[in-house]
Amino acid sequence: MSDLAIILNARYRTLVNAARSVKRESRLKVGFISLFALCFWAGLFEGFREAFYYIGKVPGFENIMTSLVFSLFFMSLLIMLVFSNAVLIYGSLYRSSEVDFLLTLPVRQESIFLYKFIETVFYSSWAFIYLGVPVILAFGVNRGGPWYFYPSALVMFCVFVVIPAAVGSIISMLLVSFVPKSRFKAILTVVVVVFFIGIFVAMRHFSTPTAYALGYSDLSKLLNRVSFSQNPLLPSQWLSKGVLSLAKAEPKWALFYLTVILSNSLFLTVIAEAASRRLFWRSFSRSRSGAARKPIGKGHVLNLVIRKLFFFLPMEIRLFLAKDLRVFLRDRLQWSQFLIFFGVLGIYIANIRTLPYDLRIEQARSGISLLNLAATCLVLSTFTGRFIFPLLSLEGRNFWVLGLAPIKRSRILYGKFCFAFFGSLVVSEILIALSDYMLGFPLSMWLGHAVLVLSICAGLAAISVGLGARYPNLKEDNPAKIVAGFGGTLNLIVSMLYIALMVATIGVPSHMAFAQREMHPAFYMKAMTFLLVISAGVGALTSVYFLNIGRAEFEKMEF
Amino acid sequence: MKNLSLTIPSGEIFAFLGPNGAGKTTTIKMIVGLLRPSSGSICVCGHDVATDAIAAKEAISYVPDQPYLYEKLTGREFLQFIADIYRLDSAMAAARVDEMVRLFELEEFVDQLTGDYSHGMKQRVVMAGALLHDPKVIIIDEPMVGLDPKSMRLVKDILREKARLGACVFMSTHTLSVAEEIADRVGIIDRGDLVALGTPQELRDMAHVEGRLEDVFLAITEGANV
Repeated sequence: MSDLAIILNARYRTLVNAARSVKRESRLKVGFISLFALCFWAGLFEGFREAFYYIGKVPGFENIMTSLVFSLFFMSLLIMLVFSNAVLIYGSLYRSSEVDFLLTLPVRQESIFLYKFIETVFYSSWAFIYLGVPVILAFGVNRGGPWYFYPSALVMFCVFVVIPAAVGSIISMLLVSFVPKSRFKAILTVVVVVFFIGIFVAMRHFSTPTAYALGYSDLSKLLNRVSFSQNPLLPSQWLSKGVLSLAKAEPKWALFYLTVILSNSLFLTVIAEAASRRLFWRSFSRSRSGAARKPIGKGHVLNLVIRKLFFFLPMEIRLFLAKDLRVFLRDRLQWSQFLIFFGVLGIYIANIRTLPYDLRIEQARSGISLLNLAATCLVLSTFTGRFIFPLLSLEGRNFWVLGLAPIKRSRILYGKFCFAFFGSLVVSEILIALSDYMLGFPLSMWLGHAVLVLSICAGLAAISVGLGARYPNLKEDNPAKIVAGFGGTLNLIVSMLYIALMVATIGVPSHMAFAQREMHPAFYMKAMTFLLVISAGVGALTSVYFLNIGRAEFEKMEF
Repeated sequence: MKNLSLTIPSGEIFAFLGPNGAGKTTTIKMIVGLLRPSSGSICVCGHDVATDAIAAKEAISYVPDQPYLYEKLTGREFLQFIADIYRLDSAMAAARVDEMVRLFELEEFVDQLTGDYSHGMKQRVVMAGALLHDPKVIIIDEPMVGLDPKSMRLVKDILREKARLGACVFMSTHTLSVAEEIADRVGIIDRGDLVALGTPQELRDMAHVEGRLEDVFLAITEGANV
């Protein structure tokens, strides 16, 4: 057996044992997660089925539009997968204690690379497959594709995901091998800035006339603008063509594109493996060594700012707030993701007036405003889910420090809540205020949105902190793995349901009342006041409820 | 590290001492192939770690201070994995695994997932894995951390026995009493420099200190920092 096969065999054993552990988990837990995954999947399928149905109704443009949608969709996925694979392979090759262990064994470095490469392909691509399968099913059902369309398209997907993984891993190894550690931060900043400028320019460049005014010449302009996504040298275009050939029952062409994808996947894997032979050990050693870092200061300024700014909070809570903020600012992964998520959203909102929406129509503005609100809150929920939920679990390993301190445990919990709440509140309020400004809403709606956002931020922070305390994982020090458990999934589902509830029962009625403001001004004011009170009440009740759940569990928790 | 030149013959227990941040773990990481030296070379049983890594690693067993185990493997599955990596044939592997299980008294928990083990239990399984293929070079970083007194005695006896049979033992530790008790030679490193090398008695003579190794160590490292 080769060394790669031996490692994969051990990995297989770990998966089998993990599956047995899942069997021992509560059926309710497993059933709940499975049901949610199924519902989400079914929703995606239905959404795409409707979309393909409407595309099919545009006479004469069905094939062009479908081809365009597929090219753009797969190209976007290709770019995202290259980035996510580069980040994932960096984490799994250079930040994993398993690699330290494997490197001390008589195992070839390229085998370690291939093992981690396979793992990364799996981790980065399961979501692609999970999201891609309903698209393919919906397309096949809509087009009445032949029976072999479904399995063959799935095979094409599985082969395709190897390409961005190989490219991402080569990029990662090259960066770690050749970019000086001292300049890494500067280079990362430049990349982020270029990324934002790129999005800003792209949004201006691709803005089109409003949908109702779209004519043949506009469509032609649009096709010219996005023709780069149909470049025959792009792997995403091979996948797009392959899937379309399958749907048209052209197996020869489908086989041709499958072979092109497969041969390039294998070719790039060989290149990546050869690169690992030359670069991996060198880059690994480089990533682990280096001159001592400069002292980063004593943090007196931050302490002072937190102490003065949050004077109304008890001192212990302010201490935890300062500590968590400091950890956040020093964790490149956390603030960079935060910046990218909210930065992209900010650029989009700042560009609303250049986008193809007719802002003269009040209903359109109202709809966009609600969508912006929902999008901001959903992005916020991914942030609270990814970074706030695991906070208490991560504290578990160092709990003896806190356990010995003369502090009530509940204060620790409230400290986390304050950190999550105030952190998310500032960003969300700015984004929603910007959205209202761009859409030209009056002050009364600004105020309404501000209270609603405040309630949602408080609720989301309390859900993540409360469930984080209720379902902690004290053995794990990798936040990504903590989030992937039952508690993390439940947190995501509850957060999304909470956002849906708040937007549907308070956001939508407030916009309906807004539409009546000129005809019934008194009704508008009363309705808005009522909704704001309800919003604040629901936010407060949700926060108290989830914080109480967390507090009850946290106070009796043994570490 | 600065111009570290060291030869450790087979059959010797070598204790590598030094204050925190002196370079002990860095040295060990270079020997086991985790770090690449910026200059110079490291040979293990005649194999250069940089150019003939697999042959060098086949001779080595490394026990880090923070042992790594696959949490979703049982202790026995982990030992089997190590046996496979070192290409022990199946009969030999089974016999050696049983022998190590008995030696380190792992019977009670060896078929449970290692994620449920205490630090000491993990350390014993990692030790068992390290000795499974009968290595010629044993490298241990803080060998006694997390072990109970009985296990500590067992490890000391095993290391002595391995050295008697011709293995080379390279041990980094802050537990000076252990170094004093079992080491044939001691090297003291400080800020990347090897500041003292010799038998415990030679170090006493060098430091002009009679008594425990702890006093000798403090005299040498504090002298080096003046």
